[in-house]
Amino acid sequence: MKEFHVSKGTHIRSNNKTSRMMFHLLIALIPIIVFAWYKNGLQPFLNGDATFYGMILPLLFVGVSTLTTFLVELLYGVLFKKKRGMDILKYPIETYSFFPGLFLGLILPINTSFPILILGAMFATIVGKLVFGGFGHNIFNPALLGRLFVIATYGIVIGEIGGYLNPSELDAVTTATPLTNASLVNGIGTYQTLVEPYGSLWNFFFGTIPGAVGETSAFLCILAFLYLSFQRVIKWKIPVVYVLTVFFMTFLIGNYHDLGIWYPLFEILSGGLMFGAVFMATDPVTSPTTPVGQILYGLFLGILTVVFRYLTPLPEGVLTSILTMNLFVFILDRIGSKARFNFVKSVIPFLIAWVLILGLGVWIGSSHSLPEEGTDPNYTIESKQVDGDTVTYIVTEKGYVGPIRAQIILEHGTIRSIEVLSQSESFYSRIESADYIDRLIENQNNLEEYDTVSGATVTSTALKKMVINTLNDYRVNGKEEVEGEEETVEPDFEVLEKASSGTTTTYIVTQKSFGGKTRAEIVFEEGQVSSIEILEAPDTYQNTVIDADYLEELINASDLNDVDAVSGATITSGAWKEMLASTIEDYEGGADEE
Amino acid sequence: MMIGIKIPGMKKLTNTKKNGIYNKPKYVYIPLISQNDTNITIIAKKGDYVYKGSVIGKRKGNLRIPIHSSVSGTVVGFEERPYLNGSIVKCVKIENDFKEKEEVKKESHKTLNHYTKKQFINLIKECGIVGLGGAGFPTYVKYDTDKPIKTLLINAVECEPYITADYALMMEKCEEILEAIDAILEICHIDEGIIAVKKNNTSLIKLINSFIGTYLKIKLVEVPNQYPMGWERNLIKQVKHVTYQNLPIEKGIVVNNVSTIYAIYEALKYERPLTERVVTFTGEMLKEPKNVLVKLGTPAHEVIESLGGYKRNKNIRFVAGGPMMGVAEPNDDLIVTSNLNCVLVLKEGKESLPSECLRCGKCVSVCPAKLSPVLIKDYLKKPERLKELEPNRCIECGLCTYICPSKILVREFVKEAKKKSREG
Amino acid sequence: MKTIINGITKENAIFVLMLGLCSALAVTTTFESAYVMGICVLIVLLGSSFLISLLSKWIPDHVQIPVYILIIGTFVTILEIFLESYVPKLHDVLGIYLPLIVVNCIVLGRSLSVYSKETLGKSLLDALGIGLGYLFALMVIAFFREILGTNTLTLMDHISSLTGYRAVYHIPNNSILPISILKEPAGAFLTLALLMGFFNLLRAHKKGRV
Repeated sequence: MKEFHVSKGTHIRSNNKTSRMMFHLLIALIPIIVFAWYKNGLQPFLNGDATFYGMILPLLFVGVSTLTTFLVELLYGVLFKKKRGMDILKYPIETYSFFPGLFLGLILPINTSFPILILGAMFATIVGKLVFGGFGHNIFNPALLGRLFVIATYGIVIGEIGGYLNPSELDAVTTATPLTNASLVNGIGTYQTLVEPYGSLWNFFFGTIPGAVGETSAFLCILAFLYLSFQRVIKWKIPVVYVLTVFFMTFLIGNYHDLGIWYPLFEILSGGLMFGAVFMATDPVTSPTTPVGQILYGLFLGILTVVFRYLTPLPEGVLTSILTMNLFVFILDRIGSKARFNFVKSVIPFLIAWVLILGLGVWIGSSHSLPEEGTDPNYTIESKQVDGDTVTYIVTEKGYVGPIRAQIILEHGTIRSIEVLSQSESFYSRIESADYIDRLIENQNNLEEYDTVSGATVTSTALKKMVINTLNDYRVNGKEEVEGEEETVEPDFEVLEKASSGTTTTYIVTQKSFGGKTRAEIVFEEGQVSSIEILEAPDTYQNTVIDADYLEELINASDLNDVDAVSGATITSGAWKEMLASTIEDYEGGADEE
Repeated sequence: MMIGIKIPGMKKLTNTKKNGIYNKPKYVYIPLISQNDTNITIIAKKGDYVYKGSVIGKRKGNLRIPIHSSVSGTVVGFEERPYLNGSIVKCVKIENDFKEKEEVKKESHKTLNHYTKKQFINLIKECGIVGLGGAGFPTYVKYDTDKPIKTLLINAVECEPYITADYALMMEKCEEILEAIDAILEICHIDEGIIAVKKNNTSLIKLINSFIGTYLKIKLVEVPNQYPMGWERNLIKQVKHVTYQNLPIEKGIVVNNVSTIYAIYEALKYERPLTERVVTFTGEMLKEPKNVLVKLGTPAHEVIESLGGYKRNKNIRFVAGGPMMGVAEPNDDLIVTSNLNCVLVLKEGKESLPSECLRCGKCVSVCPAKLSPVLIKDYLKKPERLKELEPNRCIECGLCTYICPSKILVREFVKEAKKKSREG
Repeated sequence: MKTIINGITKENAIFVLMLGLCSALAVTTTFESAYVMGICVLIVLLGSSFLISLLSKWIPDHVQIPVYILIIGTFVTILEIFLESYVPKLHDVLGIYLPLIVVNCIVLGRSLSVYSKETLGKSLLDALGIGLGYLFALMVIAFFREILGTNTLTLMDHISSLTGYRAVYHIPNNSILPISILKEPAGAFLTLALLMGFFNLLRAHKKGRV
């Protein structure tokens, strides 16, 4: 009686092994890591912009984040898995724990400081993988989660010390990454404005543009994709469909404005799309397993990326779209598994996807406009007044968040003063602390080469352009006066109607407030305010003010200055107070004017 | 469209050797089982003398197929022996008197087509002919229908690696098989006969082509070298480009394994019941792997010993059936039955433990039945969701376990899902 | 005694029952507002459980919910008025979440399921337990959110008008603190989820499952 080994399952097995797949992935990443080191470390060092430490920084960067994730998983293994008798040292290797760290190191800005990097890597491993149950159970791509955490929490801090720009780029380029540059012009621009500041499209293709540590080189990503598809390691349908969708949609957008084929190429080569499509979207654990599911995944990823790039002010299109679609993977898999038997069942999602692609493509194209040739579209002259040799300009220039409005006074053709009237820039404090305005006045003759304030690049560029455009206008148009085209300096307070009958005077007034213009009816009786009725109030928190019986307070107050604002609706209550004050002023000033 | 993948054939071990014969077993153990149904009326009793081909049992129920003795001799008793699906089955133990006596001397017919359809069906029923491709389905049922049969599809694909039993049989008995096909076509009024062979089986294709010219109604069709091309649905889709719901007869097609056709030949010519078949004994651990003509009921270890035995006596994995769908047996007491087409003796390597599912989707992309095994594994705890994944379509071909990079036994999960969805 | 422990651990309102999460997320930006809120909920729970368990026999089934809301609302209004007069700044900080206690699932849910059916003593103990559990949970969440998110720990700030003390501690900024996302709503969800997971882990450990 012989006893043989008995086991279930097939008795021959393929050569596929998870370790081999990961090995191929590593090989595909090596050129990218080398290029990242070259572009961010070696080149600045050779140019003299960086120290020796700066040269090895990219490698150190990637190495530290990889090591952190490895150690965190090792700790997890020791704490939780030891009693299962598994070989502890093998555990972090078996679960490919270093991959989130490796990817994270490649997608963060180079100027991230090490403590933040380590915290981000720990976050990525713990909240991105371990909390869900470890390898194979996570829903979200851990590297992307880590990057989201770092950018959301420390984005400002990193931006202060240079953001995505490595030492060489800080000097050479005036704005930040290509997509931030594009967002200044609403995403639509000419070849000159979008591409040329960074070179030609070949720069985009090979990756010598500003961006995160390792995600700029589209060429290397394509090579990696071909290698990995050939080795049957990744789900190739996803990146192909994703990139093609983005290409098609941006082609529609560009076509609306008769931009050439360079426009969709620009869009797919920038923003780390290639890297995200090949490495992040195809992460096996967090992407669909069925073929139809994968195609739908790619389609919707493309749609979401285009939506996030054009319709939201956030620059992180690829990251948010992948993380969002990660939530829907299990639905896509359900659709995909049913579609395996009966393709018709999946027609509806495809239809939805195609409608969105075509619809959004055309709509975004039509709603974003192309700047006019030759002029700076973000610069407008509101008014220009001449008084002898003094010319006073009121101009606006689009900044990072919104328009910057300033008064520039020229005397004898030279700028004497610049006064910024209104702005809503996030980092304006840096401009102020750098005395940038004064520097602009000092350097007005060679502003083109003048540096921007690091950490407030876009704002300082806008200010520079504003001054340059003003000087240009003076040189071209001389002392031609320009009347403000619209009543742009709208009065905050306006009396629309005023009617008196006997001792009662009724005012209809408008007051600029938080959300727009508030319109109210104020009635005076025998010299005193008897009632205030709000006719039109576009403010968000007006109900808070109304509930606080604020109007009653205003009516009964002897001195309006004593009346406190309503907390939670300060601007609105302040505006209403102003409105009453101005009305009283008018009333007391000219009681018999109509 | 790819309906399978290419996996290593491993046929070279046995397909160049001449077939062996082992027909002198001391005892035969005829299992009282037909197609996993052990409800058999036992006709022979202990001490009875039985002839070669006498009926010793009959299956109860609708498919009343008889079970024959493969040798002449005395019924010694009943014993339990391992069967190829891993279970232990009660068998009739007959002591061989080596005389090969038959009950009634039957003349051999010159032509094969002088039967009516009814006679034909009765004949193959009484001869106990079942599907020799591994299913063991009583063949006569397939012909016993009022629907018109338009095509007879002969499955000579043999897609599972290592197995060359059908190939060996065809190489020796090609003319006879063609004659039988022709006869069946005439008897049952079938319009055409198609023999399906793998593309790379060049010597077999040459052989068939040299004879097939005389038979106008029989065609030879080459199919791609993929597994599981021999699966009925795949084959019909590939050759006739049609799909069917439950049975091929819906589209007027009857599929038979080529070894079954040879058994029908013997029945038509000599009116002999099914008593022997060619089995491939192969694998790296056998000293002399080859195809052997074996009497049904022979214990496997006897045949192996006649071939020279094992190369080594340890680290052996003994598989009844092919490498993909066969069952590993704990010992070599297995008996040869009509649905055993291969005995595979492999070296037991170090089997790696399964690790976490990577969700790579490879199992989904290779499944010929278009299932999503990874999702079935996830939803095992939620039976309500399991139904829409249709695990009952699974044919247990084993490709999902074959291809899994994490070495997970995927097929076992799907089998469990099948059981669960049938219960609840 | 067991009921009280039960309310803090096994049936903790926030980490186990997951009721009343919106106020938990909104007021935990500072430690002080968190424990004040917790104390308010505790008081409301005690008051309502007292009244409801006494009166439940005489309240017909079909007007149960409105009557309970009335009772709870009374206590909440008393609290609100008290806070508004003595610590108006805190009243403003808690804002709308104070009146929301009326429809906080913890109070209403417990009333319907426990206090209307149990004796006075049991209801009071249960209320104490749940209230303490809620207080504890809020304090833990606020502790992490405030220290890690804004580098401060406010033990007594706005309350100082009542107690006369002021205790606000700062940690100097360094390279990773403050983790500013924690004071945003996103951080609130994150902290809550991680803490919930941690406590679940402890519970599973106790049951011997991990």
